[in-house]
Amino acid sequence: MLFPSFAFLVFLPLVFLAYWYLFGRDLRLQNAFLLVASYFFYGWWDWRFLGLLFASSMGDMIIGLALEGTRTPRARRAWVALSLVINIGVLATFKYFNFFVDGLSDLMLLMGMQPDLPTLRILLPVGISFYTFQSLSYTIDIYRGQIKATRDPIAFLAFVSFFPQLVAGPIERASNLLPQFLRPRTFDPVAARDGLRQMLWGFFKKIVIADSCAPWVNEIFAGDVSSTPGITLFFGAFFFAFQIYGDFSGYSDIAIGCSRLFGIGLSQNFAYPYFSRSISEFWRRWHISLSTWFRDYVYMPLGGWRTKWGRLKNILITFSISGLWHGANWTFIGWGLMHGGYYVPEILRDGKARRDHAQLRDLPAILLTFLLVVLAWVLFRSQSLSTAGAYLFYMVRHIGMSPGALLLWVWRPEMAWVLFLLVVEWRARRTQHALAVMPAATWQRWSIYSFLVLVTLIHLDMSTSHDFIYFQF
Amino acid sequence: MRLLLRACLFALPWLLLMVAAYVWGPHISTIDYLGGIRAKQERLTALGSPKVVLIGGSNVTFGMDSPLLQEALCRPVVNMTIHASLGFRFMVEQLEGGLGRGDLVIAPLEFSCYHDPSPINDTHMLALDRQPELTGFVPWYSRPRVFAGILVMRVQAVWKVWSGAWKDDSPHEVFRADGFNEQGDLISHLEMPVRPPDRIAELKYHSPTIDPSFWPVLERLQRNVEQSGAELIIAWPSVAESSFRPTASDSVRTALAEHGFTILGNAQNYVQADTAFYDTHYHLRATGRRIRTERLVKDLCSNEKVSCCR
Repeated sequence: MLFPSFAFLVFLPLVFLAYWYLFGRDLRLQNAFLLVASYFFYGWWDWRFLGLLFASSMGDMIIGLALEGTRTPRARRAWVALSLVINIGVLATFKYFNFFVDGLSDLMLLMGMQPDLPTLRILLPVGISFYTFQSLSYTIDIYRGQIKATRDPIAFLAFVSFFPQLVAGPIERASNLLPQFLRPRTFDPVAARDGLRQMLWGFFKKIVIADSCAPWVNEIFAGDVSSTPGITLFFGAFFFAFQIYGDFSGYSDIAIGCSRLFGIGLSQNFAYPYFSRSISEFWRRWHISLSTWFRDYVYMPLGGWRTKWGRLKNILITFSISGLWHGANWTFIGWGLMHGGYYVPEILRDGKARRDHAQLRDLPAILLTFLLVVLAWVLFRSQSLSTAGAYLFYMVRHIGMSPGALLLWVWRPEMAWVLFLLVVEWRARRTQHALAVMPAATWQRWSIYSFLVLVTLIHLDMSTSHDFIYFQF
Repeated sequence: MRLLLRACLFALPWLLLMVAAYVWGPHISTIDYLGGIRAKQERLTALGSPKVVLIGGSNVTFGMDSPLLQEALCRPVVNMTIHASLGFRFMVEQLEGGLGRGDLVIAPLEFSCYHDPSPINDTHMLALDRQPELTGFVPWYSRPRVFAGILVMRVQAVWKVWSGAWKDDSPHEVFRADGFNEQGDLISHLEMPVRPPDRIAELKYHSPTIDPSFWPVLERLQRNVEQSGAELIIAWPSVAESSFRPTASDSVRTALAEHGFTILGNAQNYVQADTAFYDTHYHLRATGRRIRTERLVKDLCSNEKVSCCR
């Protein structure tokens, strides 16, 4: 079920009302209801993968209990390894099997052999990368002694499948989300109101920004890059930067806002990443739940991060795995490595991470960081490394700055909405989401809501279903 | 509860705005092509039996010469086709109560009919926006979604008129409700050049496998046909050469055979050069349309279920 769909418009109020008014007095019933609603939400897309979701979750719950009941380090290592094998195995089968088989075939061809390897024709279960990582972090955290295993299967299954964040995150840690399923929840009208505001901003970003930028991006990336002006190619990448931001951070805002309606807090997933002054800051602000997941479960365990060389090695390894997490294509690995490469000057300089918020005087650093990010998005969006290379090559080669061509791209409604987004988010950059701080007067607040609803309604495209980009990951 | 009340209070003006846009606003599109359904439906109920009824998708709307077919089969023809996106189920619903003894239903189904027989999309919104009487052909559980879509699109239409995005309200040269002949064939495109010049949109092939939900719909049509004393002939759509995939056609024939259905003639016979088409791989122009109809007549007349008068 997609967030911007009629089905969700009916589903959400019904689930909300039943959750608080029918099951609000009994935590177990509330969790059971959330579980059923979440499985319904997921099954609406394809019910055949519900079994996989259930089996994968139950597997981790059982392993979690086994881990807690085991004292010997060797046996504990064996249990956590089993969890890794199951989760990564599921992911590898559905997502990477053909990628690795193709790679092996290419290698065998290079060696003069005639490979005849089998490939799988299977559908990628939506959200598999998200829920396997969430589930996996649970067993790893038990192994590390950071959390206790739960004996409540309903709460655990509801934690893994919680519908707002099931298909595209944020990837929650058990230490943050699971306890919220184990203690009684009370309705907080202030949080719920704020959640609705965050959802509204999320819908605006998805429908007005991402879906408006998408047609330009699709057209430019599908065209013949060798005969396209460099400025057009640049704006193709520029609009993609806002398409993916609007799409994914919009989804996250809707997910976080929606879960607040149910008295459950999810962690912030985007913190105005395009106002970052360096690549390391960008990664502290972009897809935060994934970045911290990789930091805690890949980067840190690699060790040796106290030396410059160790840090660089870990960053390159972590980013290539992170790239691969996004999709079974060399372009994603290239995108990850490109970002890893961007870290080199920072590591060599040994600079300290800045925790304050950007100011106008930081504009040159913000623009430079944004430009680097835009260049890397070309790899992310391209079908292959060669097409990405050609795109970047012709973008630089044909970059002639004709004022007419520039005006053609700048003077567009999409650009006006992108600017609107930037202005609103710049003003709100110290807060959790763009509409977190609102005027005190009711009529002013309602005017802002009405404006956003109207603009979103006008941009809502009824002719096609616009999936979220991150659903495919 | 207070939050709910406030949310309802906030939503109320929006609902009123949508209702106002529905009552007083412009239609959701300036193109009224789907308005052609009304005349087709009226002809279906007005004609007695025996008659020939065509269903299937716009390949038949654009690419059938019904007067020629009428002459060959000595029966009046009603070409019910208009847009494959309405779905096979919608087409089958349209025929309920409209068939009689001796009728011949010819169904040159497009691949989307096999792949997704019961879609609900903006084509339904476009159709129901001008003809609410078609609501009965949409499943009850999809009606709220379709009407919500119409309400949203009506607001968008008000905005388009107000902002000047719809400057020209003259009817489309081809896609217009008055572009059909008496039998229901579209004729406004016949002498049009290929658009864009020398290139037509390639068919995006769906999975060659047939969706399981196709069979109950086909069986329902078969039941309706049998109970009315009519005959059903499944036929091939016309396809442009560059889009023809023999393997896809073979898999359709095989699957139909496995379910006890036969398909008339050979798919290859209904393939024509790309230049015979107007804007898509399915939309034949004048010459191609005549050739396609002649081939269909030949196939029909060599079939024992069909009686021809020449």
